[in-house]
Amino acid sequence: MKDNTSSTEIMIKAENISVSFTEKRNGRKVTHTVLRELSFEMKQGEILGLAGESGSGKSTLAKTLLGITELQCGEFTINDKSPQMVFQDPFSALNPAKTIRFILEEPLKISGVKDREERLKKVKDSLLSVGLEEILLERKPAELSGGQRQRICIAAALMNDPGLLIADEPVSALDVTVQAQVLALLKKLKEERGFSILFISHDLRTMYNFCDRVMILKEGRIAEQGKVEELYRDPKDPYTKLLLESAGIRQS
Amino acid sequence: MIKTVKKLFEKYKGFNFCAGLIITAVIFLIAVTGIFYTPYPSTAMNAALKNAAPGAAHIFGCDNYGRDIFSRVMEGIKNTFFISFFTVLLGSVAGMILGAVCGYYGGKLDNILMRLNDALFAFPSILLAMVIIALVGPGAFNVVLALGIAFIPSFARIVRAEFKKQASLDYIAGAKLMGAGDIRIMFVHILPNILPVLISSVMIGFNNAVLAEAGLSFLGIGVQPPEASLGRMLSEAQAFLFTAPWYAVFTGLSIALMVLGFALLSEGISEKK
Ligand SMILES: Nc1ncnc2c1ncn2[C@@H]1O[C@H](COP(=O)(O)OP(=O)(O)OP(=O)(O)O)[C@@H](O)[C@H]1O
Ligand SMILES: [Mg+2]
Repeated sequence: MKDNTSSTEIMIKAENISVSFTEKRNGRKVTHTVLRELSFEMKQGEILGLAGESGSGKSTLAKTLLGITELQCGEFTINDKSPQMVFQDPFSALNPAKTIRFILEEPLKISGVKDREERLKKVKDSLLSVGLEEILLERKPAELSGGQRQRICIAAALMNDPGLLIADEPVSALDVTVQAQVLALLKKLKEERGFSILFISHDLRTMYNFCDRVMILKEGRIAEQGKVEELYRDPKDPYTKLLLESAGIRQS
Repeated sequence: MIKTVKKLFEKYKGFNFCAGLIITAVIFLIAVTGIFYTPYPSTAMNAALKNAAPGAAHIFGCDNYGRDIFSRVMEGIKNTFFISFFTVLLGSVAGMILGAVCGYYGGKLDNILMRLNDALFAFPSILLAMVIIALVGPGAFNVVLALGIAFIPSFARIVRAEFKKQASLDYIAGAKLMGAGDIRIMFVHILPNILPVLISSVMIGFNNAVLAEAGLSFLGIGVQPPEASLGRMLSEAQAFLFTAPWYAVFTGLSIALMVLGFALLSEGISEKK
């Protein structure tokens, strides 16, 4: 991740990113390309939505941008020293052997907050800020509900005040009321702290209320992108139209 | 008091765990006591007591040199126990580091080290230990070295598989994003997750070490006489199976008990869930 301070307006600039996976099947190497020469920009302070059907490469793009998945060609810059991610699967995103206290304290320890009291205070504050109670501190992730787990992920990711948060379907595992709560919470925290959010979802309805801009991903390419209102009112790409129609937002 | 403790154990860990713990505790006590006390000096010979039957003075009887078998069994348990302990310590710590590095980093290093590991693994560990002893010579320290090295591959394999599995999970990617260092990730984040697997393989490893140590000294290349060792005693007892059967019986029983205790214990631990 390069830290490019010359273009302060831009949070992410990606050019011609291609990612493919090589697997061995029956002793033969099979390569399938997931992202194809994908380019886009994201502005600072923006909530950018990334939509697309299952398997279109949303999570892969997120992981590539954070250096978790290797890219085959293309390049990108991220204008933040320590971007964080809320992972799609809240079960594998939290260390099963550790308590919530450890999970929330760890980012502070790593970033060098030496004072125990200070760390504990921040941990408690962050729990409150995601609407959870202190009693959860000594529990392990398996002893939390899905929604609680998702909030812990958000709290942990925001612990060190990142400039960029990539949230991969942070609410898809939750029921509708909790969804609204968590999203409202994210928006509130964003307003307070001013970070940017790359918001991944396949739910176009949620995106309409939550995002400033939306990109539609199809088979590893960006089919269409634009401001939410414009894109939802007047989609150009037939695939976007289809998505909007199947979500019941547009009539054909 | 004892009853309530027992009940607690049974409730939480079941019969295997309790029985294993008791047997292992007794063995451990004997081993520790054997360091500084045996009823008779383990090497004191007495021609008048050659192959003497068990009695009040010599509860396990005497061997063909008139030495007190109980004292020698104690010393043998001590030797076997501590040799096995340090063998497993060496094998598991080295195997864990090797497996952790291979499983976590993967790539070329992993490929090379694991090929080597597989090559070693292809030999039965007792055979490998014999080769090493042939190179470095017998004696308690060398037995630990030889068996310890021979035990590395199996530990490395288990630990590597577990680390590989954990390293691909999102929480590790998350820890990296937070800026956690590799060493911290390996030993603070991943290790606690593989502890159950590690503990049960250490238990099994300990049993294998007991048997391997007994095997080596049975073959005469383990602990050297006049120091007592269970394997060597068992091998000597063969000649007197009919004149002094207690020799073989008590020696064999103590090996069996050591193994049984640990087998029950590891069984008990793994059935916790
Ligand atoms: N580590 C991997 N190895 C091989 N293939 C992978 C790997 N990760 C993802 N893929 C493949 O890449 C494609 C895109 O996966 P990705 O997880 O990015 O989809 P997604 O858009 O996030 O879908 P969803 O909405 O279901 O989360 C899929 O076909 C998937 O099988
Ligand atoms: Mg996904």
